[in-house]
Amino acid sequence: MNWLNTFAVLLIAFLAVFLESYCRGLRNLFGTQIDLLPALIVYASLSAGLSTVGLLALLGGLWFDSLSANPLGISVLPLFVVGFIIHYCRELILREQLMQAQEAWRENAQLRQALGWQQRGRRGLHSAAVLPVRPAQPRL
Amino acid sequence: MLKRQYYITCGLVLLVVLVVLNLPEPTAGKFKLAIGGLFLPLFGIAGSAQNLVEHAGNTIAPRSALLKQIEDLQKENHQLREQLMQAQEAWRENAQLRQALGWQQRVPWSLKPARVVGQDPANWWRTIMVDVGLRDRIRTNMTVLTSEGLVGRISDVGFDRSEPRDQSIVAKGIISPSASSLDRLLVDLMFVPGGSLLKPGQAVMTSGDGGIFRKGIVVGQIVDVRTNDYGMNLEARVKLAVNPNRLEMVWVMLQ
Repeated sequence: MNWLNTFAVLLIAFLAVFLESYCRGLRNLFGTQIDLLPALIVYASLSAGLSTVGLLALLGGLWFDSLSANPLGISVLPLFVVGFIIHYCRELILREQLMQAQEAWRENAQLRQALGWQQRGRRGLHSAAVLPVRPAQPRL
Repeated sequence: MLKRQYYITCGLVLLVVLVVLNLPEPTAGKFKLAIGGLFLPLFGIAGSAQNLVEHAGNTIAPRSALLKQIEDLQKENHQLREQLMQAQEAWRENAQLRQALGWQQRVPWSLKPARVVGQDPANWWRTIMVDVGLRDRIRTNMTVLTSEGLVGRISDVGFDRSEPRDQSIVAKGIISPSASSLDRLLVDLMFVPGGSLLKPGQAVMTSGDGGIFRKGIVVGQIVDVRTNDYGMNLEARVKLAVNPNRLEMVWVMLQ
């Protein structure tokens, strides 16, 4: 994930915190506000690097606390711990998608061989992968 | 085995969290207001957009509806004028009686209208954000109320925004957030002396003894009463008069 995507994730977090404070529809309907930051940190930890997860937890937590009566910085650590654990185990969580991607790669190679086409380089797997994770064997 | 990047990221995040959590309270408050200030343009844009939509809605409102609204408002205005005349008479009489008894004269409330621009995104707290601040002479612990009753007090003040919080209201007992109910409109009235004649439906008002709220502001209504500490104390559940989730305009009492 490049810096543009990191910036996009942070921008969405900023808008999510603002909407949680500004929009009262859900609060009136359910009597409680839905927190969007945990969902965003799960997404970031599954699809981005740990630096993005850390940055999102840090800035998202500080933004959230600045609009809340929470002590400043109290939300950062829980968000980071969740993101860190999911990021550490993401190859295990995404093993089915990884296996499907590898299966698709093998089938593609067989078809290319049958048709007499040139074999695709290793780089092609990265660009054609379902999820932007490295195609390594899962730790089971 | 953890990689080096993991250690560096964890260390940096932990360091920043520890530094921020250990900031002195005034510095942390200023830091919080500064970070919250990043959202001010968004609140401004959202408020302007809402005004625009309301304005557009007003232009397409049918003439008959507007005429009916004018008629209703004229009636209400007439009734309020009558009530004001009676209140002024009572006020004069009250002042004379206070003078005769040698009591201190009551100072009329000075109220500043404010628009609610946001609410606490966390579900633990009941704070709202209003669009007045230091430049409007708003200070910490000022009372916030509506025509229905008490909203709370100002907990944090920025240059052009403030955060009222509704808790720790002093009445004949002490009001605190209810620990047993999920209904955010219910609070507990505790430490009411045993033998007090509390009944469901009675109004709960501020006593003025706490030093923050003036006397006689409506807090809510008693829902039910139970005995505590072998009859030494009474506890009551009180339904707040003001629903903070539906607030749009409030008044800040300038002291």
